[in-house]
Amino acid sequence: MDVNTVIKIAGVGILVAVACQVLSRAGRDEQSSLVSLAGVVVVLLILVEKIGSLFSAVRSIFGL
Amino acid sequence: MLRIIGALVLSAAACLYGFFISTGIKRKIAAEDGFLMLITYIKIMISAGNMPLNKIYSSFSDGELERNGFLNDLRNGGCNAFYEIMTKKGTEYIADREIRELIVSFSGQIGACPLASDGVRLCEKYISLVENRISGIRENDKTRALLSKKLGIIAGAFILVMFI
Amino acid sequence: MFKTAYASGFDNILKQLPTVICSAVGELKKSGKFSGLSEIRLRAGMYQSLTVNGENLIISDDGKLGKNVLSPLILDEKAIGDIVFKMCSGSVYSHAEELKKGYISQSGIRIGVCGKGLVKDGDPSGFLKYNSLNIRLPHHVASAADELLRYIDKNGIEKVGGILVVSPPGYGKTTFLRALASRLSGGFYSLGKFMASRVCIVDEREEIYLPEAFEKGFCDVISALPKAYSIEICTRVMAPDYIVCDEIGSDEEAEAICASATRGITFAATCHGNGIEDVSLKKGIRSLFERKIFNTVCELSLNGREHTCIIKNAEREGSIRIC
Repeated sequence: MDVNTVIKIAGVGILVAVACQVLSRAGRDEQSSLVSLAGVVVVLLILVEKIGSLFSAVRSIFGL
Repeated sequence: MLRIIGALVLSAAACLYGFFISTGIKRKIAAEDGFLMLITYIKIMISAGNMPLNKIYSSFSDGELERNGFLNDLRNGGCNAFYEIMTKKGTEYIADREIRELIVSFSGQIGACPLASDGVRLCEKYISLVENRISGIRENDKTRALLSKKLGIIAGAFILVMFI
Repeated sequence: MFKTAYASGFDNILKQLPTVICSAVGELKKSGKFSGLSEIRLRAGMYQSLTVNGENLIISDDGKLGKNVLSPLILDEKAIGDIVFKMCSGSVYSHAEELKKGYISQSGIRIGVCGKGLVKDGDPSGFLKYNSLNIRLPHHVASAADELLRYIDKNGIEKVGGILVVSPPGYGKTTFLRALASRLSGGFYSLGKFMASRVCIVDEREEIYLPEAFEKGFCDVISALPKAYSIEICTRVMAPDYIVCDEIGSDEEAEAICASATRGITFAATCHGNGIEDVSLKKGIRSLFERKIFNTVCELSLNGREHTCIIKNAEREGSIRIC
């Protein structure tokens, strides 16, 4: 888990928060929730490899 | 290294695109105001001194309409310049379809008014119609302009974050 | 007999007419009869014609002219309306005052208009639809008033005094008056001496003044205002030697002329009529004769294409007989 990934996830988090604020203040609430959903998807994509290795580690530890 | 440069370029592109859209909308707003100002000016000049249209056009000036070349075309056109320009190149100057149709219809009638009082009445009618339409879309346009700028910056930052 | 020069505004007007009519005028130029062209007449749903030397030549739809034409050019009401629109430079309302009097004035050329009129609050206020146009071409005939000018040279300008030109319509009164005014302001001979006077032209219907007629001279033009009012203003502020006006006859005009004449201004004017007797029947004109405002009367007549001018002077023949 390198620093870069943490910074990326943090950056995405901040930007999504700002974008949601801007959009809901402009009255575009649906677009605001779309952006937050997209943010979650992007973070998951960043982490998909890490999550995969997490599951393999859990499987190997518990011998499943 | 290349990656960083690429990311910077893409991010700058996203920001600039946001600014570009925002400026476009601001220009659209300025053009609509400019046309409304033109009709008001025509009304004032007709009621004040029965001034013919070609003199009115040469004495009128508006920042946005000068910049986008409309006034230049208007002054250099023939006796029916306003109507001809609006029917041929109207989409270049007014984006909103309803306002454009109103201006086309106005330009087709203003020259043929037989009396000054008819001309003034026509101007007043179209001023209120255009103002109505503008008040319906102005709020939306202003928000869009602001949003485009902000979202452009956010998208640029996002790209930067993703690729660096 | 007459030298002719043409109004440069004519080319402007031609550009605003359909191309078929321009080619018809071109035909006329080729056949050498262009100098006889006095009117272009356009009519909705009927013949379009050129009046050349008093005759009507019909325009055909391929731009040819003739007395009898197989396929005459027919313009519809919309086409005439478009031409009026162009003549008004795209702003019909700016010519509303002229249209109330039944004409449009452009580049010194008067275009008579006919059609379905509009009455607002009981007053005629222009036209709703346009049916006919009469484009009258003024000719500056510099030598039109030469007979009178020779008379002035022989007898002296003081003896000649005020000049009234009388004739039925269409005999060239305005052309005569224009030539006279041109020479009075540009230079003429009186008893052998060369002199020029300050002339003021009261041009209510913008028919008299032409640029080429008054290039050199001491001339002031006031146009588009009622004659009586214009005469009063000119007298007060322009201090002319002569005032020139066309088609006088009403009582107010006669009053204004009398008032000016007492200030020492001499008048050259025209009046519709068959002769002095006919014209003296009008109360206004009779009063002007009685007060000796007009000393000299020129009666114009037309025999075919020949214009003749009979000059009658009150002092030479005793007082002008009034019946």
